[in-house]
Amino acid sequence: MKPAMSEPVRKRRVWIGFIVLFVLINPWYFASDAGSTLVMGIPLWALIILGASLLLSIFITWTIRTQWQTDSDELYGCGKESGDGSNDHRDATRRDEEA
Amino acid sequence: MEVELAFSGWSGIFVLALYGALMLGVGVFAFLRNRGMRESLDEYYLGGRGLGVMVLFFTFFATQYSGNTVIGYPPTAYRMGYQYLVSVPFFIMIIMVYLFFAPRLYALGRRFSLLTPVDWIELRFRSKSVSILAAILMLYGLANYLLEQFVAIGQGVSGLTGGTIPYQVGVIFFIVIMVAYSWLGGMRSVAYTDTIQGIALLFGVFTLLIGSLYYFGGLPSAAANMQLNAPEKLNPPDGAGLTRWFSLLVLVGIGAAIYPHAVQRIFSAKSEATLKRSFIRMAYMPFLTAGVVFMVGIIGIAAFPGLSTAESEQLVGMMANALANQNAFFYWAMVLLFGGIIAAIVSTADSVLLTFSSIISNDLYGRYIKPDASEYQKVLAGKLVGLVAVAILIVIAWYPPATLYQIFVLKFEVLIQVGPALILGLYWTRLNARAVFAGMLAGAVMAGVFTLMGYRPLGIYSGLWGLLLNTTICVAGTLLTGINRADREHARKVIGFEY
Repeated sequence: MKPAMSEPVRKRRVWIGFIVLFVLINPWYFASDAGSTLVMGIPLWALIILGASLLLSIFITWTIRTQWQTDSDELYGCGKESGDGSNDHRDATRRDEEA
Repeated sequence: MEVELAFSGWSGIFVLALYGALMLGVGVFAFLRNRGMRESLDEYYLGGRGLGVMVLFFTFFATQYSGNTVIGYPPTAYRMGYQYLVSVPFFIMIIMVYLFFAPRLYALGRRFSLLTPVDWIELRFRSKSVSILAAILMLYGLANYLLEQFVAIGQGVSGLTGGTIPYQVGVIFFIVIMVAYSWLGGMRSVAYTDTIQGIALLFGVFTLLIGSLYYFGGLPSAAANMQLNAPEKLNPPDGAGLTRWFSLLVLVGIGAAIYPHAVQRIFSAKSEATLKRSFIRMAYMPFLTAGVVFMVGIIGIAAFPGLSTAESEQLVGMMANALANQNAFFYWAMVLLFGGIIAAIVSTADSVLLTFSSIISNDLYGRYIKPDASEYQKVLAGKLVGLVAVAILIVIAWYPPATLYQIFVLKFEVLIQVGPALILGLYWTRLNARAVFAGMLAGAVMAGVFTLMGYRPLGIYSGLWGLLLNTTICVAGTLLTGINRADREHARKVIGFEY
């Protein structure tokens, strides 16, 4: 059975968002003397870049929360019990793989 | 880049001894709690795939932010001004790049119990030559990375103690402790100590920022100084500066995300939910870490104007010295800061060493040299070869070869050449092993040669040129030669989750 998966890499909106934000975190769209405009001692262009970077972080949060879902946690629960030292699953899958 | 901190001789030794004891304690704790651990590769190298959000977050944190972030970034900001603001978004880029492969790689890691990045490459391509080449590139890059950390530990220790502890003693002391706690508790020790080390570092950089703002004046006075003396430091980059900005975003974003020890951490997450929450936290850390040290560098422009390049390398030490002279609180805070910096270097080194050993254990010894060895033997082989590598690297750190020193500098450039196999292989069933092998080899050679010759066409870093050639060969080679049906069927099964 093929599991229902949602991966960021397959979502057009994720790509569009990342491309737009990547363009915005490169400071190509300022005048070369933009450094003369200061806000509290910080150049305005730098604040805009930081703002765009924060938007990227927020977009990453949104992407992780809503666009990323696989069946791993359903299939395997939330991690093996620590310390049991077993590695059976690994060998089992590998054997299946060989077969 | 030695930072002399003459004010703290014995207090420095005290803090370092305390850190050492604490880390060893963590190792013993992890050992006692998980006695069955040494039996299995999963337990030793991935902490039994059971790392929770907090610990996983800090272990990602430790792989991305090292002592160099604190010592090396402020001087760069000092020299370049706001043009070095790129250090904030490039750390966010790392998380963005993760999102293009981590979801699937985690799911596959769970299904096939993958242990190392090479494990995945072997599963996907079933090619001895591709796996061995990838393993060699990774081991080479990781070893150089480790060497850099060792040199930094020695310089940091002798700087912190004002030379009371010589460079060599500092290196040996921390390496012995690092190897001891890693051997005792494997990934768990490494992750727990990463947590302690991360907290120490965060505390230190924030105190440094607050102290600098308070005693040296804030950003407005720095801006006034730049307007007067070097207005270009306030302006956005143009031309070559813009290319540099762009290529740093791409190189660091891709490079740091596919560092083998970074990829391996994906496998050690307790669950997908845990991994996601750790990534979300990581997405905001650049503001609190790179952003803070960037501000420290900018403040330095007004506090210590007119330093030469070599002098500016000592900036953090100078600021810490000046702050420590203010009062007892800042004195101890600065001692802790330097302890935290060394701890951060150690925590980056331990992660690298663990991944190095895991590739030996699993991908070379366990797969090709002695496949029927018990897990215990495989872990032991990884530990011992890791120890030998450490010994060799210490010798190199003490007696740097006069010529060809640059072959010990190649890291990023070589490591990212594994990227196309790792990432393209996740999505493209046609991608074939021969094209991947040719691309990886050509990319690594090109990146190496460009770096050795100091050749940087169009201002773009040699690693990216190698990556471009590598990816082109992978894609063109695959399209031209095609793939046999069995291989494609296998790829489809693996990445289509139809096993």
